[in-house]
Amino acid sequence: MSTFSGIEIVRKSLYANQKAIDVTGHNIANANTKGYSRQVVRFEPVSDNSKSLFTGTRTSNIGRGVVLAEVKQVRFDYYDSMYRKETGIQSELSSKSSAFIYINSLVRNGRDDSIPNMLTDLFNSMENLASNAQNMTLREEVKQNAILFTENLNITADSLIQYKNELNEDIKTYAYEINDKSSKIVELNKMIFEFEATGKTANELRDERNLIVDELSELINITVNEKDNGEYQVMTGGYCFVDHYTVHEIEVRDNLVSPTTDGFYNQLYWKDTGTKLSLTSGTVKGMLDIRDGNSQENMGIDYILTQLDNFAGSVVEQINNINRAGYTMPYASNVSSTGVDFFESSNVKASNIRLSDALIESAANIAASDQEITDDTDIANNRNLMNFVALRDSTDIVYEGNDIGNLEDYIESVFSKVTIATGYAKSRASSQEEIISYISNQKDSVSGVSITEETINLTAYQKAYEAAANLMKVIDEMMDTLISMV
Amino acid sequence: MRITNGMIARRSMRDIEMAYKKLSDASYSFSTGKKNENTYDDPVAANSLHRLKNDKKEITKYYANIDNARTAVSDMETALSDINRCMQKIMELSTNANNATLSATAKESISQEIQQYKEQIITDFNYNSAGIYIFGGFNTNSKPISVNEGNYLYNGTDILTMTEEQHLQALGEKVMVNVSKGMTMDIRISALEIIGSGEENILNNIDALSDVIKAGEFDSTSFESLNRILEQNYDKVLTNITKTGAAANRLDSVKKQLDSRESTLNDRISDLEDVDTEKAILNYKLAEQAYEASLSASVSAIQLSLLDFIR
Repeated sequence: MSTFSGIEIVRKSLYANQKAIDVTGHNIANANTKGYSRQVVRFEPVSDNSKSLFTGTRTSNIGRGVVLAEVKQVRFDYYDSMYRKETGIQSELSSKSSAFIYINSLVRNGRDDSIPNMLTDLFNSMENLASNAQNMTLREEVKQNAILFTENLNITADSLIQYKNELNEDIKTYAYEINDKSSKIVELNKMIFEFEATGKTANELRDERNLIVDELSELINITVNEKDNGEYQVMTGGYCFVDHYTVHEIEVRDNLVSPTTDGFYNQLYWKDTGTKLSLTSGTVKGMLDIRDGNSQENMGIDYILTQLDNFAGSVVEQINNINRAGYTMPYASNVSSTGVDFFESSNVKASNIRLSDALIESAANIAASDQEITDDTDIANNRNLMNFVALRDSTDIVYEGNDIGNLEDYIESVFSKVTIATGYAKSRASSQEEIISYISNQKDSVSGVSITEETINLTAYQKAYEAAANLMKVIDEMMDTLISMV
Repeated sequence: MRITNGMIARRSMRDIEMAYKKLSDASYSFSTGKKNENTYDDPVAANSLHRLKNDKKEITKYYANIDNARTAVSDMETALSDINRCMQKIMELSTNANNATLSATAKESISQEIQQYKEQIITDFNYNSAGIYIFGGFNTNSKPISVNEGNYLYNGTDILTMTEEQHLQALGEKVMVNVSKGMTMDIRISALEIIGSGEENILNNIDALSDVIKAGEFDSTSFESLNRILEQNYDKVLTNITKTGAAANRLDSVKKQLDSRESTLNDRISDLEDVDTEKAILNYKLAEQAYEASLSASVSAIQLSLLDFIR
């Protein structure tokens, strides 16, 4: 054992502690970096393995100092996968929640100018007219209310359709984003794999990959798998779309008719296999549900539009039937006639419901009378108007096989379903947020940087460094003493 | 469990956000007096509110209907009372005329007076209430009773030669008014109902009476038969005055019902929609305190660090 071996121990100690201080500095610097996992150093003592040249026995059992064996990131994979799973659900719910809140404002739910209120106004003005059937002012009022009612339906349906188209575009954008992120993961897979082939750990690259995977988990439900040999896979619904060095892209096909409404809507397919993506959570799933949902359980724009179309259709059918049965009031050179439509009757949808040309021409075409009006003496005949009034209380309306029941109740129930769905989505999204917050805390508790802890570490390494430096001084003095003896 | 800066920061952020959200809600309630800003904050309440408000709107409409009907009924009552007065006068005059000592001039003047009362009756039947002729059934735009060369026409049909069928059809022209949910009322009375048609109608009989008086060929048989017809018709006037009175009462009572229904509705709407001012102020103050507390707690928690204690 050399006289100078002490200096070597000091050198090792200084070196190791300095590195540890660097790592601490790195941690502190990245305390607020998104996706950063704190790194810890692992010191290892160095034992003296040298053996006597002559006896073959170990020359000493005094250790040879310290070595920095590893700089390792602290991360618990289980939290990562849990976080990704819950994030998928969270993103789906929050995208639904904000979509519903938007839909609520599009249909002006609960406002004075919402469709149910407009229908009530229309019925009210008809009732008003019923006690004074020849009054043109009251007839105008009915006509105006009918126009407001139809325009309201048009605007509501149009804005819903427009929102649906916006979602459709968004879905396409998200598909490209998923492809982009998949390629980035593959890039990182290559870099990490090559770097780690040297035996070191690619801490920062792994953080970057984890961050991208986290972001990807907001869009679609994914699971990841890192094989023992370091190959990294990302899967969704059992399909491995990132397999180490290869990526399978999503293809957006817009030539498929969406389940219930006309028009072409984007659907997502795997380019290589041609199968459709089956998603269970994530923003994209939320958007697809909102766009295509057509049942009460899975409510989306399609469902609301179908309900509005049925409503518009049944209103037109019912009111036209009554108006056709009655006789209009003569005006200008027009005689009292029967079979006149109140609304335009062909191909009725919420987006195109409008008054008939006859009614637009004159409110006299509201058929209030049940008999032909030949002169002034029958002008106040309101018997047919009473049928309009009775329609309001009618509860057995059926339209194209759909049970509508009462018109007012029906449209109110559509709106209250939207309200309830919104409230439900909102409360689910906020309770899911609690879960995410809990897991984030758990994750952070393991991987996050604590400044206090780093400060303590810093002090510890600093003291160790100082002590090692002092040791150097002692050795130096020893040397001096030794040399001065000569 | 390790507690990291990120956790404290996130926690503080969430706490502050939640407290701020509560403050925003409380300030909404405080400044508007309403419980919820959006329907989906309380779907059940929103649903009931919608129904209640619709009911209230409907009631407002019925109010208008009742008020219109009430005006028409009052006007009919006025007109019928006047007709009643005229009929009484005519009957008095005819009694006076049944006196052999009267001179021809006196008889002629009585006859003329009777004619004037008859004109008054026709004017009463052509009463126009707020732009509507109330005694004309479906004919509300023109006077129901018109005179054409000594013939009396109801809505253009000669009363004297009117068939039974025409008579019934005219009486069937009922203008119904909705006064409450599912409740309609027929408040208008047709002039024909009182005048009658055919040989025994009032107008032609009054003419006959005045002609007889004028001619002086007055015998008790013809007088009695004419007077009997008048009396019968006079009864009809009285019956219809009673009817209008009953209709007025009914309208008033329906209106009272609507009043009480409306006030119940207002109470329930207010229950669902409005907040107590005291409660709103208290909630606002609480939210404000919570917000302040969350701010100051977060600030001190974030700022503290071991670094501050290392010299």
